[in-house]
Amino acid sequence: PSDRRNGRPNMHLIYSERLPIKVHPLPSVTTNPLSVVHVLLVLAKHFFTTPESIPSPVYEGSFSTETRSVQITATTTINALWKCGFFGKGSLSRSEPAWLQTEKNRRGLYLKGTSEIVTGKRRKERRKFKLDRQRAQLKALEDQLRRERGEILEEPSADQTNESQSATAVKEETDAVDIQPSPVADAALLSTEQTDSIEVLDQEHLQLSLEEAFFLAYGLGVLRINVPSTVSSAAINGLESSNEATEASQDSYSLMNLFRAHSYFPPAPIETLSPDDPFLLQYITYHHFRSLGWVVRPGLKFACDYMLYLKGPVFTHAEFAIVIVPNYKGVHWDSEDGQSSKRYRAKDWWRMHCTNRVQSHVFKTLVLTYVEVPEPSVIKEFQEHRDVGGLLRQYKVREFCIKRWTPNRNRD
Amino acid sequence: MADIDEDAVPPSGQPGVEVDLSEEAQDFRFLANLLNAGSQHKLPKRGEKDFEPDATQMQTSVLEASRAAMEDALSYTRVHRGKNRTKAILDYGGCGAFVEKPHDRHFMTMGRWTGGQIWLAPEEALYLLERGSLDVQWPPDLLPGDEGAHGAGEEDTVPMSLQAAYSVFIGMGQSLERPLTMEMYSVYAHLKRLGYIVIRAGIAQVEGPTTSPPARTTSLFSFLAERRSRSAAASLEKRGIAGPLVSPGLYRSYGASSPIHRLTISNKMLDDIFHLLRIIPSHNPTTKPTDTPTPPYFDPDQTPDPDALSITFHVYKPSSNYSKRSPPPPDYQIAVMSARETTVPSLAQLSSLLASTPYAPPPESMPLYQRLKKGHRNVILAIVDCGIVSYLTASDAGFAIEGIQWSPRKRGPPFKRSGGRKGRHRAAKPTGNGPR
Repeated sequence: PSDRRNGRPNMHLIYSERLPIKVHPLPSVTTNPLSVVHVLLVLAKHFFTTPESIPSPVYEGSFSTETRSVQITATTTINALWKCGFFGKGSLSRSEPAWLQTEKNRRGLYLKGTSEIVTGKRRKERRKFKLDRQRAQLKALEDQLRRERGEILEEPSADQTNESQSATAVKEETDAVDIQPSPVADAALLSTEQTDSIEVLDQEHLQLSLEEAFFLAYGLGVLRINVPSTVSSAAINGLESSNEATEASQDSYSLMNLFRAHSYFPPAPIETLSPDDPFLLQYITYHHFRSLGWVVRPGLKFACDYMLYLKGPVFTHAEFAIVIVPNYKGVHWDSEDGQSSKRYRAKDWWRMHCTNRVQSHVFKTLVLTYVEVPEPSVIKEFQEHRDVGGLLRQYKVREFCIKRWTPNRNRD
Repeated sequence: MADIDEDAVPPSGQPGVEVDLSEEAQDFRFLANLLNAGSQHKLPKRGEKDFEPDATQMQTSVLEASRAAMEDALSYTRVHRGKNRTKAILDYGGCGAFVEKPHDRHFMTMGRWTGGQIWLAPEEALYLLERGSLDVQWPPDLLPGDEGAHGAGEEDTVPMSLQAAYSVFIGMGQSLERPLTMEMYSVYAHLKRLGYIVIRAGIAQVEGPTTSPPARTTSLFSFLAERRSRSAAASLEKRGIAGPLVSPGLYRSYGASSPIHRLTISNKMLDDIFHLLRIIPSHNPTTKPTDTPTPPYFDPDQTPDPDALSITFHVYKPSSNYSKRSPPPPDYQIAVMSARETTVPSLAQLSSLLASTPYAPPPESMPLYQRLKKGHRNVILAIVDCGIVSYLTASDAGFAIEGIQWSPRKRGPPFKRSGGRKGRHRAAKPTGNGPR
């Protein structure tokens, strides 16, 4: 397959890996008998030199308390994590780390569109369309008023109207330029002023949300997270404080505790953590949908917890908007103590309709994801056995799609 | 990358945008046309909405005309015409009303035959009375003695006013499953006016389809697949204590394997990455809903859970072949809820509500998104706030079984894959069955 399609980069080739783990598939067998030989050859090759799927050495990231995220600075790692499964967000971009390209573009060094530029162009076009429409409406109104005042409207000949319209249009356009200097003009100005050989340093890093980082570290085992020794203090590590202060990377158990503590602000002490920690609920949901093969991205801008993409944001729009609904299960939560220690209450219908309205306006389907929260005793077991998998298996997930139903449209 | 979408939202008013016409203001001038030209049965069209006064004479006159039309429509006197007059007598003990000589075509879909008479549920009687199609009379024994002393005949009953009907019928129905509430009546009347056939659940015995999924036929494939998933679950039990779930090694595919792969797979070869990642239990909508076990702290002598939700109405499309004698399975099932007294239902409420609806899995030919949205069961929640009804469909989405890389039906025969371009929902890579 070619690396460009219809003059655009072939996304299927660039983003062919679904996770940052390299798979080595066998070639497919076709009607051609030689293909069998090909398969055997590959098998033999793999037998003698077994390739490794997990990247080696594993990627490195560092936990940052201030931003409550894990930061990746190595460019190759940033690329790998973004291209294979769409993990993280550029610290200076809205999603894909594209600051360097945008910056070069702005300085006129590099003429290739980033998504931000494309969006900017589209916004401008839309604004022009709206201005035109408004102008037409105003004109119709004026005509009506004049007609009612008894003024005789001369039906202007076709070319006259065109002329006057284009005149106003030109005027408006010049106004618009005055108000908002276009970035293109800006870039042109800069490029003429400055000499071409400027080295632009990449100021951007990739930031992983805590659940993304934990998934990469615990689930896939492709990321080592270094934690500053000041953070990994005994208070957060819990019962055992035998970890040397100098040890940078952490095991899954400590990471889980660290992230759970940091899902509160200020970070909560380990004794107060409960099974309905924000981090635990988010991670359960994140891991669940990731393990089903969806690309999961944060959904704050859509008033939900996560957005689900079928293959990734470069291929399709998200179709599903996930809202987490904790569902407390067990005797403890029904007791008086348990009731008061719940961190989530049932949502009222107004809030639910708000979210659903937003989703139907942006053509998404709201998915209520109920997460069954087990009793607090599971946390004690977790502290004793340090069994992360055992803890995760105590939760259960169930999804319901919610959609508005309009009686008018479903009659036949 | 939520952001990419945010710019792609087309301006409202485009064909795809969901426009709820019922939320727009009526243009009452069209009503006037309807009244004046009674012979021409033309449905009124909707006018365009102005958002602010623009000081034109035209707008003012349009507004005036609309107001006049509305007043005309409201002041129109409705009378019971001699021939079509249908009388009913309030049946206070039986919670409803008895119709003696049903003339109206309404009775094709309303009421129930009992002993040579038609018995109407409270909402049916109230709706017909409000519509002007029914004349409900007070029963003679409820009237004070001296008024009822006229002797036998038609004259000894007194017609019921609309106000009286509301106060009698709302809250009535102790012998029914649930007494009629104002919320229920709002939903009932709304759907009836739109032409739907609405039957109270529990009144008519609907020969519903089975509510649980059929026992699956065990083919060799499904047997092996099941065995595999069971053994996989067993082997997963001990994994993931400290991670990673995906241990280092050689992997040939991300997702599910080809059929031949599934046949030859053994426990040691569970090498699909997504398979290894699945450790969080999730709901499978194809399984039979288990009766919610009574928790130990729940008093068995107690009446059923007051918070439990239940289906209120069975709804049929106007075009459906509904027959009162043997009602077909309903097109929609509606649970009425009060917006101010209830919250978003808990998992137990929603799952037991859905368990009472028929099992209707989405057809296999449906695209993935639609299959997920339709779900294996669905119910409509009608949330009512003081007469305003909002309908929401809740469906039991099978995310866990529709996992993109899981479903074997999405895969073609193992040897005809052309490679290169992938199908929309396929696994990313073709896979083989070789040893590791």
